[in-house]
Amino acid sequence: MEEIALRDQDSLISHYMGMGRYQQAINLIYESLAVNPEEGYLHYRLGLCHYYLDQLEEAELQLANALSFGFDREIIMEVQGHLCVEAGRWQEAEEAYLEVLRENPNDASVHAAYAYLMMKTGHQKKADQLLAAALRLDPDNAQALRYRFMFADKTREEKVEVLERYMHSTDSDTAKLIQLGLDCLYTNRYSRAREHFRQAYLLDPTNQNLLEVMKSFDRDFHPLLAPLRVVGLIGGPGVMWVIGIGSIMGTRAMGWDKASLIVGGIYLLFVIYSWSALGIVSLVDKFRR
Amino acid sequence: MVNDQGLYQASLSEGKVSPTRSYQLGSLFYVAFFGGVIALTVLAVKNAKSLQLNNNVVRLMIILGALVLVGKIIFYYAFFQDMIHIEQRYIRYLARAAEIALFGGFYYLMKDAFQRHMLLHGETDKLLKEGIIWCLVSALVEGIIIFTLAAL
Repeated sequence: MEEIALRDQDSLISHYMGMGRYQQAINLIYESLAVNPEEGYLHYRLGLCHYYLDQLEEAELQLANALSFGFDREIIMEVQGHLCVEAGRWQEAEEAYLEVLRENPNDASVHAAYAYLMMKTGHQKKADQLLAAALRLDPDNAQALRYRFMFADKTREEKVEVLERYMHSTDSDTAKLIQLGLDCLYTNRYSRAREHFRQAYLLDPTNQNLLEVMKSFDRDFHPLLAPLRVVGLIGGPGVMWVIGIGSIMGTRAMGWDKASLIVGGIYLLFVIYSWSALGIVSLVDKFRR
Repeated sequence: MVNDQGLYQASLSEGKVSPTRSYQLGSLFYVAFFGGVIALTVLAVKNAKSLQLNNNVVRLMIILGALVLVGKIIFYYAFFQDMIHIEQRYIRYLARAAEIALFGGFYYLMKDAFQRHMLLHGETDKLLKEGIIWCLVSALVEGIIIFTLAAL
């Protein structure tokens, strides 16, 4: 009876982790640990959950426990590597990944993770080669495709192709929506981007990063800031400046002094607006809350 | 060039960590506007190097900056020698326009690398102090140049 209950518990834990409900998973794991305190696998899962919750110290502790209880070292080292990357411990991360790769030279995901580390530490060429190797080993690997899409210097067509392949990968829906959102941001489709991020947030409301993204979207999409978005669309403040000064000079050159004054006045008002709008919107928001 | 074997050798063991750094790219607009070509080129080239751009791109940026500077000098010289008959203030407007255009060029050259930097690191260096310093230096140098040209 007890064994069946434990197996069910295990599936339940997997279920919660798959949904991103890491805190609930942790509670369940502790229940299982009460029965099996030296089960390395449970400590490993605990470490994984804490890692996803950004609780790096806890995660590292649990991974060490898992190791001491005899759980598979390579599996642990892979997560240890991720941990070290998050913590900025670059050398340790590299050592961890290299150790895993020595044992599992065909692991595409670890190649991809190592590539990300290389990118973070300024070794772009090596990162590109590692990603290429990852995709040779497994052309559908989600992490490799994701990094390729985000960071590789490719033309728009190639990026779209990589994005399509990525969408067919095994990454979670939340992750895919975030990538779609990023893609829209790159191509200046802000409302679509916001929509993607909103969907991602709905799938994973406990995600702090997504919450921050939604907040900054709401701030940047305030109706008061609409003219600034128009400026962004036409190419930025530089273009606005050229148009403004050009019109002032143009009307003067034509001898329309009054028109020139009016244009000058409008331009000045716009400049003042653009410098103060963001500040005003933040203040207004603060008062409302 | 890292060969296949080198791929699995530690690259970070001697602390060779050199992530990209950058200013907020759009802030260089203010340098262009208030500081002029010298300040803009210096800071843009610095940014390009921090973003680890190709050396040829960096050289191109230096050349473009130099061209605008030389163009400015030629125009001021022509003005002071009465070779052209427009008001001095239009020369300034033209100079500003050229500097803004130069900013546009630099921006275009750096924007992809900047985007990647932001995705990887999410933070930028502050431009304010250095920006002000270089604007002042730039204004000083251009002032000296103009003064010399006028005195010729």
